[in-house]
Amino acid sequence: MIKLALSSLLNRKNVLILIFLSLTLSVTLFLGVQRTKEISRSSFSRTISGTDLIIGARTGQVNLILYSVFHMGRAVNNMGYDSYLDLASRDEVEWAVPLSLGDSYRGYRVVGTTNDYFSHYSYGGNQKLSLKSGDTFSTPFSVVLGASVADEFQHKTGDNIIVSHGAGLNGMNEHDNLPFTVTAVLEKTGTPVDKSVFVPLEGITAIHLGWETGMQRRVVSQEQALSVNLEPEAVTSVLVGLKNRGAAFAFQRMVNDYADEPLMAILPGAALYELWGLMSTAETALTFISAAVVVLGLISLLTAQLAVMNQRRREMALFRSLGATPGQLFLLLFTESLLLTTAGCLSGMILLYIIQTLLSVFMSSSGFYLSPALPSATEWLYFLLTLVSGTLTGVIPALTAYRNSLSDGMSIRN
Amino acid sequence: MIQLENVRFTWKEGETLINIPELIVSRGEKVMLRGESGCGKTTLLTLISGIQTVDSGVLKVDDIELKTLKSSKRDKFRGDHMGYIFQQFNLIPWLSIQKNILCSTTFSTLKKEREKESLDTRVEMLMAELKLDRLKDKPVRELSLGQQQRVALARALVGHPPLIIADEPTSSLDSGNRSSFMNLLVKECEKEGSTLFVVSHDSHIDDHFDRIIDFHHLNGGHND
Repeated sequence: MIKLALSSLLNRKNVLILIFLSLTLSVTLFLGVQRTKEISRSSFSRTISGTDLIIGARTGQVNLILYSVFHMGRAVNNMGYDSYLDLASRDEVEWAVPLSLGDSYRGYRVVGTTNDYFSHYSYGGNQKLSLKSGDTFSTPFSVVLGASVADEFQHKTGDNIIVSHGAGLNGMNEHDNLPFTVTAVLEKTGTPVDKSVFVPLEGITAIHLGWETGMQRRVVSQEQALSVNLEPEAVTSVLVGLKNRGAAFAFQRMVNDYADEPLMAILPGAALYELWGLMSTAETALTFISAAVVVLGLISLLTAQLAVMNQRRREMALFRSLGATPGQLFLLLFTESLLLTTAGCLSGMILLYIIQTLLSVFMSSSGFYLSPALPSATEWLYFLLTLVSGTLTGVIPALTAYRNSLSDGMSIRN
Repeated sequence: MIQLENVRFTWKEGETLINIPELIVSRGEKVMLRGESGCGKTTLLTLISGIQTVDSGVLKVDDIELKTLKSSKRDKFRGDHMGYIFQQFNLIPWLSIQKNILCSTTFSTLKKEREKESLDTRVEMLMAELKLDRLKDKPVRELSLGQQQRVALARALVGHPPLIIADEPTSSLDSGNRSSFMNLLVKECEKEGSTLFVVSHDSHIDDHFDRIIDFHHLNGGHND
């Protein structure tokens, strides 16, 4: 029966190859949307781990996590350096790393921080950052490069770089009076760290000497800069690790009620959860559209099967004369649809893996974590859902054949 | 081989289409049932082949009373005991000639078992006998009507069914093809010892049969 179904399918291969392709592509799209969703979530989730709280000026919690960890968007306000020092000295705090954002290097974000960043920041299940070469900050004008940045501009330790004020798009606001020297390059992490340029907080203060009005009023030399107090007045946000995670809520409340200035503390997990909520509308729309494409694929399969049904009534009558029961004819047609749907689903899955493998090779510097993994439970569910609905679609032409053969018997219609 | 007694059958209520007091075809006999088209001959064939069952009376094929079998058993019985040739469109367009011939055994294991030689050898022998061997690799769509009917004959013969039924087998053929096809049909049935039951309105082929039955004399039913 399977042989018979196969040769029947092969006979109509021109039409069926197109349907097979549309099934393959729709399944790839459908599963691809799911996978993109999962990849973006896991990429976000694995970027920050081990940090219990993020503290910054009052803003939305999604906004705060986006600019301080994912380097998306910008801070509206800074928080006082005093507040950082005060909070960092609390008993509950194990470590606190300040971040100062706002400058850039050739389109990549410059992150002002301290050496603590390299020892405390962790990602993807408590992996620590590690240095590919060189050493962390030794002077206010040291710079540590993320792997992608070093890669793109072929920088190595000892190179001098010049950072720009703000996003640095017009090339007018270069901090070219104070170059930084590369002291280290980080190992690849698959997180936004790869696309960051780290400098000491003092360096950030130094390059802004003479910029107090937002424009460069006077040019400061390196010697002059080093001769003044480079302690910053403000930082953008602070990553905090607590001694006891259980204290996170209490500490968060304390920060939110901080008397000296309006601050907020967020739990990264809760902020991410809110982020998923924001993304879910778009995700639902995409899922819906891709599911609709699958349905269209199945309808085209159905159309192709039903369009030739009249012509196939002759075949059915012949098979009846050879002793086929209507049930066997049902099975024949059903097997045909089943073979086609299964082939389409499987090749869709395979195509998805091919695309993902290619992407993971070509986009390894994107900061997205794309390595192909086995299908997740949800993906299997969607895969089975497609397979089952395809199979159910196949019942329709099969039932038609069954009914035709009951009414036609062996009379051959022209 | 075929035995009918007081058989009545109707499609619509009130119109008795088939009303046959008696018809007996013996084993090995070659019988032609003659009648105009549309007079109910094909309906009689659907009864003999077990697609439909009689409303009343007795219809036995190979001593089995068909109406006692469930419909799927009748389908199997037809597959096992009969070879069937249609007027035209006898072939599955997407199968090769060989596969079309072997189709008989797809739905009948008994036919497969009856073949002592391997099926492939048997198909080759039949194709040689029916002068189809030169056409081996041709798609069935490209066969002439006469060639198509010969393939249909080969398929009907595979598995040595005791009864060969043909419904207007020659009416789509020209006169030359007609007589050569009938010669082959009769020769093969005699060789196999199969009973041949042909319905046709074609009087040119009378000579090939042991007995000609006029459907109008046989059938007391009406078709208005």
